[in-house]
Amino acid sequence: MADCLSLNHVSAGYAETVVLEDLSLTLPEGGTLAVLGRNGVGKTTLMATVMGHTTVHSGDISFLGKNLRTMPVHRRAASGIGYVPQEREIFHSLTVEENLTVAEQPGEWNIARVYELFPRLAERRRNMGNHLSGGEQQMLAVGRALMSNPRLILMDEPLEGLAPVIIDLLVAAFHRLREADGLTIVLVEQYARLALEFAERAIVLDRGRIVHDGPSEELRNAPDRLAALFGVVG
Amino acid sequence: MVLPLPLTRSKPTAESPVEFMARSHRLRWYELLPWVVAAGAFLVYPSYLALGAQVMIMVLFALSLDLIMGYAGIVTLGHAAFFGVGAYTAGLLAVHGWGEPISALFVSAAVAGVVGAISGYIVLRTTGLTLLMLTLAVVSMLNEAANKAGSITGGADGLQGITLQPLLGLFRFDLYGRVAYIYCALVLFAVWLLVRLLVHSPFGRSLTGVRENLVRMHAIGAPVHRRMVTAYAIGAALAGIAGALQAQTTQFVALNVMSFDLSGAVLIMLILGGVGRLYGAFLGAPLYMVAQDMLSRLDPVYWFFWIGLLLVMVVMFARGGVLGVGDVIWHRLKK
Repeated sequence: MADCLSLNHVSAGYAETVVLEDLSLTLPEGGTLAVLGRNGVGKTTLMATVMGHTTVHSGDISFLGKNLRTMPVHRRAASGIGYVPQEREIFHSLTVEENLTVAEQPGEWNIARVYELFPRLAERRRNMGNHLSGGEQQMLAVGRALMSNPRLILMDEPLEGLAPVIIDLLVAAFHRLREADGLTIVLVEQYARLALEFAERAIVLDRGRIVHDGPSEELRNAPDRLAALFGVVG
Repeated sequence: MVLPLPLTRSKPTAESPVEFMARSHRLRWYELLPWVVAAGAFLVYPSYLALGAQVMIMVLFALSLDLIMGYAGIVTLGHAAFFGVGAYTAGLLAVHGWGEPISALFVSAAVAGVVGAISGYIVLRTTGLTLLMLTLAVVSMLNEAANKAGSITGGADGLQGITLQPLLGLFRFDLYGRVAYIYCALVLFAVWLLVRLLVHSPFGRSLTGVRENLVRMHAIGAPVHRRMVTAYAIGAALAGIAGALQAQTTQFVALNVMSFDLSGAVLIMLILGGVGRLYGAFLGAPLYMVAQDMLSRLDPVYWFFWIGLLLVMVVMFARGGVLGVGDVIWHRLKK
């Protein structure tokens, strides 16, 4: 299967500060990757680097064969990379429907499909962005990313701070995106157990470097190894 | 395969985004109030029609700023540059024989829009204080250029000799300002409809997104710079229409149509009325002009001190301007 995302010896960070060091990874189309690690090891920076929000000091990043190194952020998004940020960043002055509409790009995903995936959003369609629960905001953040019709979706701790029932709902939606829609998914998550059950492959970051890269099953079956790498087993 | 468990049995909407927006932004009864007031003022205050026309021009000018600042979040101290470009364009056209007012409005809007697009393309690559200073630089440069080009613009003496043909070939601009008043009211109405349509369109909603979270808009694939330049150019074109109306109704263009003072005044008008509300301009501009008229009579030398004090009071106690105060009262009454 062709590579969807490829990072080749990437060092990146914020201005002069280097956070990711000599990081390499490839992800095939339709693949799923869990990115694990303690707080502050560079997981969000990795997402931000793929999206173009950081300074890349060296190395190459490519998406579906296109070099992203000099590509502006909005072109990366338009070329098929969806991003669900950790803070959700819903537009508070816009309704649910307007939050989805502003991200709309031609393709299979449209408002009706997002509502089908998250029926709760259809009920809240006229609510302003700041009149939603945390779970609804997270659904909206995922829905908004889907509205740009991505081939690859980056999700930064999408389950953080949510009630178990909402987590179940979102995880079920992620499974559907992977299995029915064939999306390539990178999931940054503190809940290691959930992430390892969802993704086929997992990497563990420590101080900006990959310290483990392999099938999720390996870590799922080796809790001691996971604890050693990660600190806390979610 | 695991499928999501829906929390409800809601059916997905079949409406398109445009249909949804058209339905949810239907005209409300209170939106007709400014037009009822304008019609009433025409009948009740026939000797103040010239002032009324000036108020409507300022409303239009403030409305154009609201599109740029209130919706797209672009803070500018140079909006009078486009008002001035529109005023000089309409004035020069009339001086050189193009006295037909409506076509001159379109030409003025186009010229101001082009100036807005070119300057916006450059200045909108910056943000914050740099952007503020660059917008100030644009208005200062154009003001100085108009001053230096005295043989064309009249320089500090102003552009004189503007003569207009009757409106639609039928209605001559009269001494009492009746035709000018109706002309300004109709143009303002048309521009208001256009701006209303624009801010409720997907483009307008994306401007709100830009204002709220620029980085997020980039990350969802929106061409932010292009949209900001487009909004800036449209705002400039509308300001150009306001400037052209000013030139046509007063038949004179002074150098101060392109000044920092006027840029500041329109900013104050909008803050007084309420920024990003579409109707802030309709309240702020008349409030400012009436306050200016009254205060300058009471205190001819230091009247601007009182305007400043009014602004300080609004900023401290009514952050959303008059409309913000109205919101607070409305919500308290609802409780």
